[in-house]
Amino acid sequence: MKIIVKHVVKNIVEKKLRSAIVLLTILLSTLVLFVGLSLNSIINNTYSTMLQGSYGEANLIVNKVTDDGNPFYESSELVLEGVNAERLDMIEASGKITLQGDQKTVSLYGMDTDAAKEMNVIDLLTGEVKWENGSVLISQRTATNYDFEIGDRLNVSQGDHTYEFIIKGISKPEGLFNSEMGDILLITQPEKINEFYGTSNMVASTLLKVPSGDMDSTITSLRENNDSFTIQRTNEADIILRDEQTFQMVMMLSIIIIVLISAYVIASLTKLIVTERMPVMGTFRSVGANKGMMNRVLFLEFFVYGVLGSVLGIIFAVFLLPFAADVFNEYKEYGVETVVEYNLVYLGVSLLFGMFFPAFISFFRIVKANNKPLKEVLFDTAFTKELRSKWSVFLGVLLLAMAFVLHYLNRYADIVLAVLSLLLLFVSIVLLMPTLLYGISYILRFFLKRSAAGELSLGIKNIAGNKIVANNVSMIMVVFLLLIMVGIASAGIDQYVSNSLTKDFDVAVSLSENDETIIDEIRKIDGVSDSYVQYISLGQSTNKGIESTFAVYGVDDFNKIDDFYDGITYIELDDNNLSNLENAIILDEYYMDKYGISMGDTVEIQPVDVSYKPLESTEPITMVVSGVMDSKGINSSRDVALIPMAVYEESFAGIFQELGLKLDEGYHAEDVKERIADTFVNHKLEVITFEEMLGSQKATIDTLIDGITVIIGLGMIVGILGISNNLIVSFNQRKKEYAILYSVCMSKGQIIKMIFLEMLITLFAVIVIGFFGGLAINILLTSLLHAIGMVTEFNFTFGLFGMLCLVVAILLSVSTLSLVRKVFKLNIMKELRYE
Amino acid sequence: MNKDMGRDLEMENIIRTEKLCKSFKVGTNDVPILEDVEIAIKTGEFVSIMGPSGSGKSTLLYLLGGIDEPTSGRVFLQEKDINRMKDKEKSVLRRKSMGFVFQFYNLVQNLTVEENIMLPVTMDKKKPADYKVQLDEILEIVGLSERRKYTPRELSGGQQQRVAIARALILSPALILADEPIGNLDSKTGTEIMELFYRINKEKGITIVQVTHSEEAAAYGNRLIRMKDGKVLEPVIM
Repeated sequence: MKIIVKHVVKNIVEKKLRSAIVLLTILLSTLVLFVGLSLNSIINNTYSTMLQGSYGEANLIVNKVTDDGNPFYESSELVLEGVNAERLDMIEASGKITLQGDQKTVSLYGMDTDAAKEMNVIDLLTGEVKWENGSVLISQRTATNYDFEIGDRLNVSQGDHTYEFIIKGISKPEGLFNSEMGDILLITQPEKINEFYGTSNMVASTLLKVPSGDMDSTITSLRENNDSFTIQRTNEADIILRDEQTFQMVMMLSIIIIVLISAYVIASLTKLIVTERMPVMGTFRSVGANKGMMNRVLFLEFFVYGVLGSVLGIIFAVFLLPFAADVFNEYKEYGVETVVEYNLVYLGVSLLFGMFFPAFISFFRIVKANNKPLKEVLFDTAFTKELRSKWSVFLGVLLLAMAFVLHYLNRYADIVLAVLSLLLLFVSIVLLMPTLLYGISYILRFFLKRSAAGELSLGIKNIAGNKIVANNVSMIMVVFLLLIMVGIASAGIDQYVSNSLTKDFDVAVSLSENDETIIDEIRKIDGVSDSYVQYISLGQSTNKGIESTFAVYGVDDFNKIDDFYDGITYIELDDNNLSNLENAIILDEYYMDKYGISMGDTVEIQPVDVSYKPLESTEPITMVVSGVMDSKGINSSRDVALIPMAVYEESFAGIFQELGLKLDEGYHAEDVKERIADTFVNHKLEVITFEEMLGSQKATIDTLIDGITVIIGLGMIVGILGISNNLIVSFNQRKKEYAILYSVCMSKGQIIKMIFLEMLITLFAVIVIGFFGGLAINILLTSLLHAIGMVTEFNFTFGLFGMLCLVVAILLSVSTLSLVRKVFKLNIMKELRYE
Repeated sequence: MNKDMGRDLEMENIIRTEKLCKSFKVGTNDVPILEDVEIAIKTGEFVSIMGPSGSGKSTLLYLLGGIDEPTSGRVFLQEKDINRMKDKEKSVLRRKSMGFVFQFYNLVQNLTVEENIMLPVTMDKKKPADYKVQLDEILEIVGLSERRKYTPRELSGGQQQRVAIARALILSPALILADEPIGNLDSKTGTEIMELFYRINKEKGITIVQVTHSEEAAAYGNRLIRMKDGKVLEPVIM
């Protein structure tokens, strides 16, 4: 046994190239799995840390209800009687500053710095927090960007006034400075901000830190004592429409694909390694080792590969994770640090996958191979003819049919069915590969029957009948199609953002409930030609036993929203119902098709909050479907419902209000945005132009696509390693075949010509099968992408297809070129003899 | 001088060697396999080469076939020095002027019987359809007409060797080189194969050179060359 184990270890060391490829494949798949699994929680942690960080340890935020148009209040107006809370009063203003020749927007916050420090809203690096008149804190980021030091002076202008500040302290770019995001944020004493407004002792918001166990009772108590204030949890205060689920699903899809590529590559490698090992194993068996012992020895070899590869993979992954996470941190440029945590469960899962998967896959092959007659094992006379088993063909066709049947049955875009359908397609392609290759070979033979080139004729036959060649084509095909799949999805998402999002506004103003009184004033701003206020909340509905969530828009006038938003197109309307029914609803065509809802049907909608929990004291509302629309221009998921404003106001919580503005010709969105921000400086408005919104969405998608591209790039490396290894090992397996051909009829030049022709035919097969496979994937992928909320058109991307064909062509050419030298150096005598 | 010898002298040499040497490098040492081998084989002969393992007989056969290259010396096939030929010319020679038969048959596993047999035709840029008659005749000779669509794996060892012989015959070569053609077969099948060689030699006049360990197999030939330690012993006329 010791001798055998020594043989195994020697084998791993001596077969350097093969061992390196196997180890690298396991290393990369373990690495990608761990990084991929970890990324999602890291990104969510980073995002929530950033959001939460803006409020430090405060968990409640209080604002005044501005029915009177005045957002300010005196600190004493907020009654905190009987509430166990630390408080931090704040007042904000904005102004302009000219730095290095550029005019920048400045946000100024007035607050008590001791309280702010206590609540971790600021974290001073240098300087002091004791206020003198005109002293400010800046962030380390601003200090670095503009080369500021303690004692430097800043001039901030607002309207006709200019205020001078002296930098007294520099804070870490954390806490409130997290929200600096490209602008400049200054913290000063509240009196100075009051000076901006001509007020004294006024504040605009109060942060409260209450014990987490007392949150509900504190909120109730605060609401009872403070009618004129709104009280919100800080984690609900900022709702940024960030589709975490979509991100998570796309990420999972990428991981699954990489794992599938790795699995297929490892499976294919084990097949070749076991075949290569068999004669030696036969020798051991011929001197008395039993099959069980041989099985265990080979199993051990793959386990050793797995342990080495996965441990190395985890080491690299731990090192690389912060860098990979940084790629996905879209707030990095604003100084938001990526919060990297190493999840032991993910680490364990990845390690176990890397360790056991090669051994697991190889086990069945080893047992199968060792069951062969000893003579066949000993002399390596394994049959290399590719058998087109009728069962494989039958099963392949059946699975292919099932894949499409599942797709058409999957009306409700169930993700499990969608994944299963794609999986069936891949298995069917692998099963049908010999038959497809035979078909291509048959057609080529038919058209080239007049050709007298023997090399060509033999090359075509080899594509159809040679197991090793078929194995190579299968591996290339699977990797090729998996990459096509990701490519189609990425291109579709990108195309949605670039082309499908309709320009429905020039400038949009996000409003809090407190700001509703200024809507009319904003509408009167010079240059605004048209406007519309969107009131959006969330609802849940159960149709055909499936629960779905959608965005509910409260609408005053159904025609006006259609006129204003090009992204909404009515397909069919029941004007009578819409005019007369209080509970009329317009649903998206996709949503209705999906759940078999028709005009006139009723649907029940439960109002929910941002955590998808039913709103307190609300019951599901019965609505009558009175219109069908296409809303893809405003929402990729198309889960949008329009309901009358009366119902909305009665039952739904105003989660999001946005004022969309269209401008007269000749007005620039940027100028109008500036004007709104300047005019309503005492309101905390978020004003964004369409270009900025598009840019921001595109940046998010680009970050996502960049990340996926990195992962797919790694997958491609795994695939290329597998394919190269397959081609190299297949040369070793075919050496004897080449020697025979040389000895009886071919020159080495003819053998090389034959190998090149095989390469060309392989490429042809990849192009043909890849094209049809790609079209099939394009159809089946729709369900999966719909399931993850991407209800948009996904087209077969010829550009990507061409690029992948080129990659395969280069890969095959390089591999084939590397064989030329090997053919010329081939020791014919050694291959022909068995001694 | 007997009558046979007199006829031999009248015949041309189909293949001959001049001071043929072959050695392998083991570490820094040159290990000689063949030393100054000089043999001449005439058209129509059936020559058997015998000798103990390691005597260099298979190496000599592969050198005669141009599959291996000598360290020094020359091999003349029909008075052409094959080691001066380019690889392409040698391959033409191997498919048109000679046929090889190996101990382990060396058939291409993924091709059928007739595809294996027609390999030299295909590689010679000839149309297989033009060789249908020859193929049928050869299949008839080797007794595999019914199994022309089989793959090697579906055939017995003897049948595979017949396919190898048929492949060697398809372009009507002047010479067949056989390396222990019955070494992997049972005695009955071995006898059948040797009788087939005998018939081919007698009826088609094809020169056969075989390497064998078997005295019985050697007896089918009309000349025996004995080798020992890389050298040819005195030729024996049967």
